[in-house]
Amino acid sequence: MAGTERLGTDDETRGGGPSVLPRQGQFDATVTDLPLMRVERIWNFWQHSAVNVGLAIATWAFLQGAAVAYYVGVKQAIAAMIIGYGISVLLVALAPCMPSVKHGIEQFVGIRSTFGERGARIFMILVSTLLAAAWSAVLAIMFGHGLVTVINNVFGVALPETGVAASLLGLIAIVVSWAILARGPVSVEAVCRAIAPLLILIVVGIIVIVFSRNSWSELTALVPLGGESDDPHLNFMLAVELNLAGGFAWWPNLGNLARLAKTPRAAFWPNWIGVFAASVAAAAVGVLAALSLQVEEPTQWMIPLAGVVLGVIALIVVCLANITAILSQGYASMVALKGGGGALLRRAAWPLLGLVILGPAAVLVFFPEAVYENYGRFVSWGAIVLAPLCAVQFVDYFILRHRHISVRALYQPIGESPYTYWRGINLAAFAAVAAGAGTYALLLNPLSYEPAPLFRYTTASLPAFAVAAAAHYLLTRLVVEPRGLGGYGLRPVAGSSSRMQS
Amino acid sequence: MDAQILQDQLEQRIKFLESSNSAEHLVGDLPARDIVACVLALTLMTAVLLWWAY
Repeated sequence: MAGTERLGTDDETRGGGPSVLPRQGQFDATVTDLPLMRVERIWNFWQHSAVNVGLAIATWAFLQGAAVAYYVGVKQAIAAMIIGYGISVLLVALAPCMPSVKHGIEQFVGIRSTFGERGARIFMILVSTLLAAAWSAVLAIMFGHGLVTVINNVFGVALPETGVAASLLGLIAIVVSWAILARGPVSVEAVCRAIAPLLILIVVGIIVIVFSRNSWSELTALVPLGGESDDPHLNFMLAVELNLAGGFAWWPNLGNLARLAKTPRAAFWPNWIGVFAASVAAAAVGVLAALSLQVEEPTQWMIPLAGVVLGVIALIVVCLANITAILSQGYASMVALKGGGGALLRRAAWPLLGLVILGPAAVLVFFPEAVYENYGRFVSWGAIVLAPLCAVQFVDYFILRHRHISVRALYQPIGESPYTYWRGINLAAFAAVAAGAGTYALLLNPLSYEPAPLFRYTTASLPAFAVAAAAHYLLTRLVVEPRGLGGYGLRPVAGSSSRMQS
Repeated sequence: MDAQILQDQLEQRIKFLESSNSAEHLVGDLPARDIVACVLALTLMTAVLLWWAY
């Protein structure tokens, strides 16, 4: 085949696989959006778990813990985190992960079957740029706060921790991150590998210090940061909602990680070790630190807990960890944009793609009240889209398509592909997401964070998920399928798991 | 990466996936019992936590 690297024979391929596979070192499909063959998968259960844990134990876990501690005490915080994360991690470990691992498809390529090619691109750009920019800004602002605290303690000055100095330092974090990202994935991996163990050390250190100073009964008696509430049940439900939203926030990342796993179990269960157990553990540490010190800002925990010298060292590590988190997030978004952003972005140079992701974050760091200082609202802005998106993907793949996708149709051009819908956009799926988002907004105002009366029994993310799921099912059955759109009648040909026919 | 190489690779991979021995190239589905076990464990855990924390 002209222009293509020769494919190996049985003896040449990895693991003695079938004769049709690319030879190792010749063509690395894991850095493209091509479907991966089974022998190209690189992670077993433990390798996927290690990556998952590394992502979960990041500085955003401290922010999550502090946000939960605002509403509830230690016991209810732990319960809210396990319940909230448990439900949402179950859903994100199924909806984006299972199609990706089965077919080896890139996550945003996979949702072409649900939203159409143009529709998938809209979500990819929305999620990869807006959410990545917002998360990067949050982390950069935390970097700025931390470094101002370090400067104040080392040089004996009194810079305000929420002023222009913190924003300017946040901007420096963004610029440094862009410079590293522009050099490519090797430098990203090297920086992340160095910081992760230090962050785990800090988490363990906080646990040891907090428990050496307080008994369990003292910790459980601590009041929430927001004070005693007249309606503790509502506060508990707000805490559950925060964690549901925190779990759904993983939707953009998990499918592409699962794509690299060797088996469906190696794709599914590591999410429970990483984004569930490790996230909950790290966020619980955040709750303990915030409540024992009665301070919500994570960068203000280290010096009171560990003293000036160790505290400043810990803060520097936390600042660096924020950079590594920006790098991880930014790199994943850049890969997604390059693969699925259309011809223009595919041709764009790597540094320019970095600018697309981090440019908006460089502006957002000067508006900390928009994201960092209203973390709960910010997380709910993500959930308002991601919970219904996850629901539509879940119903489409597991119920309407019976877990079968035509890989060929995913890559066929608009007009030829059965996943064309209406000029490349599945309006029914978009309407279902809109219905879910509307339900969320009715139950929990995303601007004021004011809950409706029904919220205290339902949360907002779960009804948003249910409404979007039901709407997508009904619209598909009543509107899409009767018009012969979406390839819902396709079934696998006997003897082939991927070749489909009507 | 050359667009033609990517296109050729894509076409070749799709052919493998659609071949009669496609099961060799695809990863299977997650067993339903894994999902059921997860849902049951989550339900039980939620009930216990609500009793403990309330």
